[in-house]
Amino acid sequence: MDIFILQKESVPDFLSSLSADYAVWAPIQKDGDTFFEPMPDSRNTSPDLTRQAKIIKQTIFPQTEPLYSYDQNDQIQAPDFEDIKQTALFGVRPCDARSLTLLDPVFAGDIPDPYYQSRRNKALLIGMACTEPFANCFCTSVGGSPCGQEGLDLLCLDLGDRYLVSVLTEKGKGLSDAASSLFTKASAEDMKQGQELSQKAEQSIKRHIDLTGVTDTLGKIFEHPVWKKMTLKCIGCGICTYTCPTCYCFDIQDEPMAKKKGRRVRVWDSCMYKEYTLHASGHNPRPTRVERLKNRIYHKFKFNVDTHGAFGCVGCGRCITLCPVNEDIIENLLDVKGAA
Amino acid sequence: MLRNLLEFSGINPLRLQMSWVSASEGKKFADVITEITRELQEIGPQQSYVREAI
Amino acid sequence: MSVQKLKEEAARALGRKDVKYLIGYKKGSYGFRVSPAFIEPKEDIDQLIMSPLCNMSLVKYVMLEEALPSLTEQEKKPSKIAIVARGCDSRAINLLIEEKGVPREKLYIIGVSCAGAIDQRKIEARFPRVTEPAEVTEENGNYIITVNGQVHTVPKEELLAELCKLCRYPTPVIYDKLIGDKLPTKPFHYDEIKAFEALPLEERFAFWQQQFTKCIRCYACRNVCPLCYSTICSLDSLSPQWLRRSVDTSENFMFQIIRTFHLAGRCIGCGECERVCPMNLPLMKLNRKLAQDAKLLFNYDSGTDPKTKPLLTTFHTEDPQGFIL
Repeated sequence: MDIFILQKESVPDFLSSLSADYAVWAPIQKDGDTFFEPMPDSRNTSPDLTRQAKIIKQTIFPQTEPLYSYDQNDQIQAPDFEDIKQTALFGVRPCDARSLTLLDPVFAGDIPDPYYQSRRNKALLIGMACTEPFANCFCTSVGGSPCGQEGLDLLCLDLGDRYLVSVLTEKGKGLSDAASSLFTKASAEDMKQGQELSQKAEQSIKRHIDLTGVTDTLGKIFEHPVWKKMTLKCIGCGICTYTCPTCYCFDIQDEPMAKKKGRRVRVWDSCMYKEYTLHASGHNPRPTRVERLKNRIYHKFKFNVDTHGAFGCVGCGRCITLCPVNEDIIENLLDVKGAA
Repeated sequence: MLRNLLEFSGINPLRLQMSWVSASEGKKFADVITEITRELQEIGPQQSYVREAI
Repeated sequence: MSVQKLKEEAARALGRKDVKYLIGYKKGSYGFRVSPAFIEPKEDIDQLIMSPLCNMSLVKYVMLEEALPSLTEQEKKPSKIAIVARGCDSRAINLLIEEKGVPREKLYIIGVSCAGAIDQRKIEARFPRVTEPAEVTEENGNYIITVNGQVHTVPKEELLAELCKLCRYPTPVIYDKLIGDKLPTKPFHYDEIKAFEALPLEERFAFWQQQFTKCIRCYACRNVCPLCYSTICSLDSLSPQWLRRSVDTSENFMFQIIRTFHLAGRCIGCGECERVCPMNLPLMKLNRKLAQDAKLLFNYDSGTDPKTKPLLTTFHTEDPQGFIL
C-alpha cells in the first residue's frame, strides 16, 4: 500500500485538480452547521472538518430520485445513467464510508438497483480519519474504527500541518498518480506518528457497549415489557432515520405533472412514521411507537445480522446527538441486554 | 394573516387577494376580476416555488 | 426555584389517588442533555431535576400519551397526569384546554418559574465533545457549569437560548401548584421581525429559498410541536394529497407555510420546532411573525387564559378588514 504526505496548504490545489474530472462534494459550513454538499468553488471554500456533517447518504442515495417519467402515449422515459457525473467525496468519515458497504448488499446485491449502482460506481471516496471522535461516537462497538479503511479509496490522517494519505484501492491509486505533484512519499517517522494518532483516536472513543449476544437476546424478547418503557419518550419524529447513514427505507410515489405527463419518484421514508406500515385496509401491524421503535432496533441489530451478517449500524452517533428527546440507542441496547 | 405570512416569505402579496361578491353583484364581480388581472399582469407569472414540469 | 421543593411537590402529586404518573425531567444520557422522565407512583422521585439545561417542552406527551377523551368513557381509575410545566409549557396547556384537546381535569400541573433555558447548540459549541453528564446551575446572571470535573463560569447571555431572551411569560399562567417566585411578565417586542419585514421582497425571498433548500422534510418540527396533534394531519394526507413527498423548494415551502399557518394565532413560542430541526432552519421566524400579527391586528396573546376562544374561531366586527377588496 502506498502512503503519501499531502501538505494542508496543497489541499485547495488538490480539490481544484479533482474538480476538473469529478463533481467534488465535501463537508461545507452553512448557517453555523456542517452539511455534506457539492463544493461551490474549491479555491475559495475550505471543507469544514471540525464538525460531524449532517447526512452523507444523499450522495449515493438521493432523497428524491426520479425513477422514470411517462406521458399520455404510454411512453416511459428512464433516466440516462451515463449522465451521472463522476463524483469525488472528500472528507468522508470512516463510519460513513463503512455505511455504504452496508447499503451495498441491499441495493447492489442479488437484484441490483441501477439508480444506486450508477452513482456508487462513479463515486470516489476520500476519507478523513477521526483523530478527535465526537461525543456520541461508538463505532468501535459495532465493528468500526475512527481510522478505519473499509469502503474508502484514500484515507487522510491529520498529522498537524499535513495529511498522511493511504492509498487503499486501484481507484485511489489512479487519483494519487494524477495528482502526484502534490504528494510526497511518507517517511517512517510520518507513519509512526500516524500509528500513534490512530491508537490515540481509538482510545478517545468514550462510549462503548459490548454487543456480544445481543442478536440472540433480541430473538427471545419480542414481547418483553422493556420495549414499552424504552419508547415512552419517543415522539416518532423520524430524525434518527433520516440522519442515519445506514437507514434506507423509501417510498415510491407517482406525481402527475402538467399536460398529461408524470413521473415516478423514490423518496426517503421512515419506519418511525405511523403511515409506513399502514395497510390499504386500514390495519396497521405497527400501530404505536412501541412497535416502531422495536422494529428499528430489531432491523439494525437482528434482521440485518440474519440477512447480511453485520449490524446495520456504524456507530456514528447522529441519532443520539440529533434526537430531540434523548432517545439513546446505546441506552436502548443496554436495556435489551438487561432484559435477557 | 396568510397574506402577511406570504409577504414575509418573499411572495408578492398581490398574489393573494380576497373580496366578498354576491351572486347578484355582477358589475362588482367584473370590476374585481379586471382589477386583479391587471395587477397580476403587471407583476408577471410566479417564477419560483413552482412545481417541476417535465 | 428550589429543586428540593419541586421534588417534594412531585412526591405529593404522585401520592394522590387520582394521578397515574408524573412527567418531568431527568438527567440525559450524555453531556448537556436532559431526558423526559415518566415517574410512576412509588418510583424514585430523586431522579427529577430542574436546571437551565431543561430546554425541551414536555407538553407534547400530554397529547401523545392520552387519546382524546371519549364522550362515553366512565373513568373511576386514576385519571390525571402530573406534569412539570414552565412558562411556555403552561401556555401550550392553556391552548390545548381552549381547543378541547385535553380536559383541564386530566392534568395536575406543577408550574415552575423559568428564568430561561440554555441553547443546546451554543453550549455544545462552547464545550464540544462532552460525553460525561454535566451539570449547570444559575447564579447572579452566570451559569456555573460543571463538566469533566472542572467548573466554569459563563455569563448567562452567552448561552441562553435566543427565544428565552424574548420570553414574555416566565411564570406559568396556569398551575395547580407553583414552585419558585413569580417572575414579572415582560413587554411585547418583535424587533427582529420588524427588521426582517423592512428588507426588500427579493431579499426576503432569497433568504427563505436558501433555507427551504436545506429542509429534508423529516417532519420533526411537526412531530415535536405541542400544538400539532391532529390525528390526521393535512401534511401527511395522501388522498387528497396536498403535498408531494418529493423534496424540493416548492414542496418544502408549502410544508412550512401550511404548518405556520395552521399555527396562526396558536403558536406560544416554545421554539421546539427550531430546537429540534436537524438542519437548523429558523422556523420560529415564521411563527413569531404570525404571533406579532395576532397581537397587532387582534390584540391577541395565545394561551394566556384557558377560557378565551381560539383566535381564528372568532369574529368581531372591529377585526381589521383592510385586505378585502
